Amino acid sequence: MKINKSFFLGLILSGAVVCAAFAQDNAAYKVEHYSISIGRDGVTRQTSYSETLYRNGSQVIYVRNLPANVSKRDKHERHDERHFDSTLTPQLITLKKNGEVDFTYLDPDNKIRIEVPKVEFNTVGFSGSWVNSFSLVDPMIFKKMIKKEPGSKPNTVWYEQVTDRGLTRILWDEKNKIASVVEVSNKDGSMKNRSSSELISLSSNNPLFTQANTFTSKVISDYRD
Amino acid sequence: MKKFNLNYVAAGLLGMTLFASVANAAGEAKNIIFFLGDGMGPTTITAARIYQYGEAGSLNMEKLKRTARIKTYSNDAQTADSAPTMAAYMTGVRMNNEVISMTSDTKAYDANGAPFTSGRNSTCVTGNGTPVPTILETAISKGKATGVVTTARLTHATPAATYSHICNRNGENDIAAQTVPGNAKFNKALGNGVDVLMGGDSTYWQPKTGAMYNGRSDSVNLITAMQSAGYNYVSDLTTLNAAPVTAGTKILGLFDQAGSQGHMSYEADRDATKEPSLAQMTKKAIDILSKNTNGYFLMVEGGRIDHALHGTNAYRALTDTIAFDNAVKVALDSVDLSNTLIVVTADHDHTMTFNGYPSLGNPILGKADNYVNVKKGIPALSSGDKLPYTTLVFGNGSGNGNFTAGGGASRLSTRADLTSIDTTTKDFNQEYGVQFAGASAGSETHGGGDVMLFSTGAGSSLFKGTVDNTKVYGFMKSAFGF
Repeated sequence: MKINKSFFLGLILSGAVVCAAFAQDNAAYKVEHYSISIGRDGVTRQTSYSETLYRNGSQVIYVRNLPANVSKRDKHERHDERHFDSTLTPQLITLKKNGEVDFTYLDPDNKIRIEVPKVEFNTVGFSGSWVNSFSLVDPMIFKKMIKKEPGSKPNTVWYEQVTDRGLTRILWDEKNKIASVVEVSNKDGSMKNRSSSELISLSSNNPLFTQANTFTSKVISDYRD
Repeated sequence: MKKFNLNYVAAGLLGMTLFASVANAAGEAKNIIFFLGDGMGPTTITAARIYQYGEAGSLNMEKLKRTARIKTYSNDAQTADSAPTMAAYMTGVRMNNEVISMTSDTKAYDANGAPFTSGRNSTCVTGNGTPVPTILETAISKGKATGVVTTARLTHATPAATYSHICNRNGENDIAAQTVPGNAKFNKALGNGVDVLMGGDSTYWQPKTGAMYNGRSDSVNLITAMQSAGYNYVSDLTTLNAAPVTAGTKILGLFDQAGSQGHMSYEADRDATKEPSLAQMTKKAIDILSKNTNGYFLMVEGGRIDHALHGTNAYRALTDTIAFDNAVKVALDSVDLSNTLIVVTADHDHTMTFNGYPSLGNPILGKADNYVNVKKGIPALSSGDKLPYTTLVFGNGSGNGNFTAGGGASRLSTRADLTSIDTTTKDFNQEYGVQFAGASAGSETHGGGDVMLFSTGAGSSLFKGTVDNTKVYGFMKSAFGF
């Protein structure tokens, strides 16, 4: 959680009013993540991966995208009685009517839904933020940022914040209520993280939204010794 | 002649001493209280000591008279889970991982690698091992009162190893049924039943209704069955306090205040007005069990130390260790050590360790400074990437280090910059070394190192040296005189 907060420079969620305003969007996005750092040892390290974000009203699902050869290699290693692959297992985030947020892993292979209680959000790396889940960032952060030029995509605009620690830039898609680009870099340029989103479908075509309710329910503690 | 006489006398005294030592251990203890800090390895104990009492202080458990070191391997693994480790303490038998109080040949998985469970139900088959008696069952057969108290759910592996026998720990619906007199699956070695049973999560004891997050699949209500068998059912601090402590009292306590966590609350999150502490449950259990003139056996588990460590959450691990240690203090203050043996140990270690050379007095949950640099006003050490790090870190883990909006377990190429982050708060999760791509979120693994055992009171003289966990059963049995 602290790491999420750190990366988004404290983009922690806002109230239910904002959430409700977002909760009507149905679409799918490809979200790509990239980071690069140059260590004091002179070694440059890079990581990148992507996932698909499915929006369906008051629910979103994140599914990790894998190259075909990685999927085949890992298929037989993914599940056993007391362990599951939290990287490859789709994540369902639900905004409830009372404003609370549920986080659930959906294991389609074994037809199991793994509930994560709020107190354990941190231990699975979930910030607890519906807005971050739905929009990648909380637009409340823009109050602390400077509005800059429009982006090259329609309906987008850049926001920027310079601090003594570095630079944050966000390209906000006002129509779709999602960050098209989030860039965070430190002052000396030795570290940079970048996330970007791209609309790939105007429907939330993931069957897990309906299948989830038919799955057997477990809790995350069932997977801890 | 004179010299001979001296030697003779010396030899005689030595022999008398040895004889006295064995004789004292045999049957000296009328009562035994066995404390088990789940996953509470040596580093966790040291860190909890520093957290609460400073480097030079001592936990209550560390003040006990004797200390031993315990090997924790199981029948099929260097690093074990709580099922065979606790069962080794309770039965003296080394068994396979995930097996509870059965013979060594018992298998938790079939030949195809499928577990002997279906959902929360057991699918153990006849011929796959046989039950072995537990110290709790033997105590019952000798007329002693018995109790099991835990902050984990009552059907979790550690408490289950005292009162049940099953080939796979995940068949928890069946584990619950084994405690219920009159149920077809009742463990008859429990006589009229365990006198005191307290822990978390009622969903293994009754069908799902209302807001329950889960429930039994067979529609059987074990809670009402236990009440019919004479048990007082308590579900919060108020009903626990109101329950009688007279001789022969039976209590089933299932505390759901933590909701869908599947266990009782971490101490850091517990509402002290509604949910009892481990110390309060321990006191209640002792008050009831001590009424039995034949003595008692009580097992007390700090079950959630392990869960916090799995989540690489040192704050909750240390505060639950302190809560566990407070329960030890309650016991020490409540019993007569001339006839009561107290044992405090862990079932296995975790991968938490100390990093760097922090200065004396540096907060144990804080960022590591340096005992030399701190005198120069340099606040915190940085690693090769120029970023500070915490004193406590873990060898492996998953679940943090990500920057996905939805969560996940993706490692960045950069470590988080902790410069402006308060790492001493309860929701901070420590960093770890090896990233498990295929691991459960938050599932840092157990460690295979030895654990500590502290003991005091009647029969404690046997608990010394470096010994297999299976030997502890024999020591307790000898102390009881069985």
